[in-house]
Amino acid sequence: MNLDLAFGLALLALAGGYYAAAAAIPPSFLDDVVGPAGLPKTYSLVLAALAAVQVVRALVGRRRAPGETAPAAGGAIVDSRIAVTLGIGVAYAVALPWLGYPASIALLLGATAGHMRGGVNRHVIAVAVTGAAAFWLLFVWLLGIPQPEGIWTSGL
Amino acid sequence: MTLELLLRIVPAATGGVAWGILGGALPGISPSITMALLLPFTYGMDPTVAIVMLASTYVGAEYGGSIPAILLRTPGTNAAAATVVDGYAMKQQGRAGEALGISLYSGCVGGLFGLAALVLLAEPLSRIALAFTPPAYFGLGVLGLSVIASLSQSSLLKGLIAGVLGLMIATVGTDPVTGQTRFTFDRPELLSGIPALLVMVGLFAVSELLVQVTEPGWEGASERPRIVFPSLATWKRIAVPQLIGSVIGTLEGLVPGGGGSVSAFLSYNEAKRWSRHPEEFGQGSVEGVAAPETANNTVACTALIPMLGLGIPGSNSAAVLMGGFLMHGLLPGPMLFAKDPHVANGLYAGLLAANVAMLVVGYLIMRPCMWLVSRPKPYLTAFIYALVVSGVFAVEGSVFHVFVVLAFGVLGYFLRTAKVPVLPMVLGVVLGFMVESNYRRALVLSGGDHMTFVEDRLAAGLLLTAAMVMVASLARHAAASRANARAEVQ
Repeated sequence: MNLDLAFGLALLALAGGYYAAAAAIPPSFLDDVVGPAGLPKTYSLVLAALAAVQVVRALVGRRRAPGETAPAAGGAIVDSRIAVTLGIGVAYAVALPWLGYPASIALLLGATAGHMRGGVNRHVIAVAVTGAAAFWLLFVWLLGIPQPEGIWTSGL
Repeated sequence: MTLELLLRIVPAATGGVAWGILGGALPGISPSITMALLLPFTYGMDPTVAIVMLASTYVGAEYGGSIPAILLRTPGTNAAAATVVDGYAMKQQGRAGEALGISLYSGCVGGLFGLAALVLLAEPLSRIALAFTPPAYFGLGVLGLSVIASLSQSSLLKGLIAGVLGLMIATVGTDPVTGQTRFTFDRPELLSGIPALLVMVGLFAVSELLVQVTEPGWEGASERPRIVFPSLATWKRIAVPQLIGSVIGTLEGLVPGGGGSVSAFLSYNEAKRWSRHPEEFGQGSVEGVAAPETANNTVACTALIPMLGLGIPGSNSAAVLMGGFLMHGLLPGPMLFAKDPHVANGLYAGLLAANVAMLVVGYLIMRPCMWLVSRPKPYLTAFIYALVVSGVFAVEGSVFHVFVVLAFGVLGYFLRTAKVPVLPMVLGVVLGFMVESNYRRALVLSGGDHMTFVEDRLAAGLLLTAAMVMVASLARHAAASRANARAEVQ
């Protein structure tokens, strides 16, 4: 399945789900002529129409040039490096309330740099620790923006 | 404007320019990303100072992009792509310092010209917009969306899809008329909607991070030249290209969707056409550096005209700046000059300070810039990632919003892969509330009669213009498709 076709089908599914969610918005005595569900339903119908055009274009294009290799939906967009980088960010967000800001940001710095370098060595660890200290100084000390302290202070 | 505020604006402008130059010098980090990274840091600042810092970042980034363009043959920003042609040739001839000096000086000239245009045009435009009624505001929002979608480079269809997706994102939260919650899935964090800041940081900065992870690193700078400002003879020779760049930059900046890269290339071509030495273009011509660099810095100011005057951001960077306005409780557009004129005046003063400070900062920051560009990419990427997640938490105070930013980063990456432009989506998010609330307000006032959009002449005119823009775009895209098909057959 080529990328344009996959994109069109995904949009059709999104339009359907969005319409269903809009239709589920309960009516209110304060409703005006359009109501809170009016424009969302309109947007979903417009999106569905545009998505249908996208799908038709993708199918017509494929039929006209069957020998051409269109960008594949799978290979073009699924890259393990991206998934790992994203996973590092998700892990940071999950760990943040528990480990606290300095430890979490140090792990994010180290994991990202290590992943891109192909491994973690002493230099990466040193940069991660130094970077975490710099970020803590910048956000917490200089700008006075509170960041999570983690479980380390919960017993105090 | 008080002296105290002025004394805070100047350092903010200087800091913003420095940040912008550093960000612009990093290949792949556009002015809008540089500004988006700074957004969370401005949260606790005085609104005027924050806006000045963000706008100054835009100014600095447009110059910063020329540094790797000249030294590494890699434009730091899209708008610096035209500078590569002659800038790198000058570097190869041992004239890198001269090229950087012309770029810096021309950027200052262009920025001051653009600032003059901004001061002259923004407020008159806003006075026209003050006459707008709810139907007219609705028409203005639709026109803004249609223009941007129609200027989508890849395809009109994908531009429209992106715009509609943005409008859908803008419906999340609380209904503007009845207060009903929509699409919140019982998450209290979504009651006030998805902040435009998260959408921008995710779509611009995080998606770029994900792209950069898969691309090879850029080569480091082998030399660190000193900037050489133009001599009198050079100054005279680049005067006409600078004028060309300023005029084209002003016109391009006024058009929503027009940007620094288009104006830079247009200026380069026109400067070559009007030059007494066209044969030197491409071989290290000083005019070939001056024209595009003047143009892209002019656009940095004139792109703010539709945003300040009408509340319609015409570029990615203007959209991020508008996000800054919204974050600080300000509404750009006609009401800004009526309710908060000191913000507009502060912005003008800040941009003046930024363009002048750029001459000094640009000279002093060259070596730190080159050091930064030469850092290993894994560490730079890791630091930008840390900056993003830290900044988002600092503004929103919630881990949930970090997840939201990452989700928009993934969305932005998929959209880029599918060649869907991101700007229409950002505009949909930014303009969605204005479009819906004015549409429904107009119907409440007219008792549900849609003829109000026809009877209100301003609204009718704007909606008709939007329709004409769409038809013209369809015709243009159809003609381009036919031309491509003919070329393939041949």
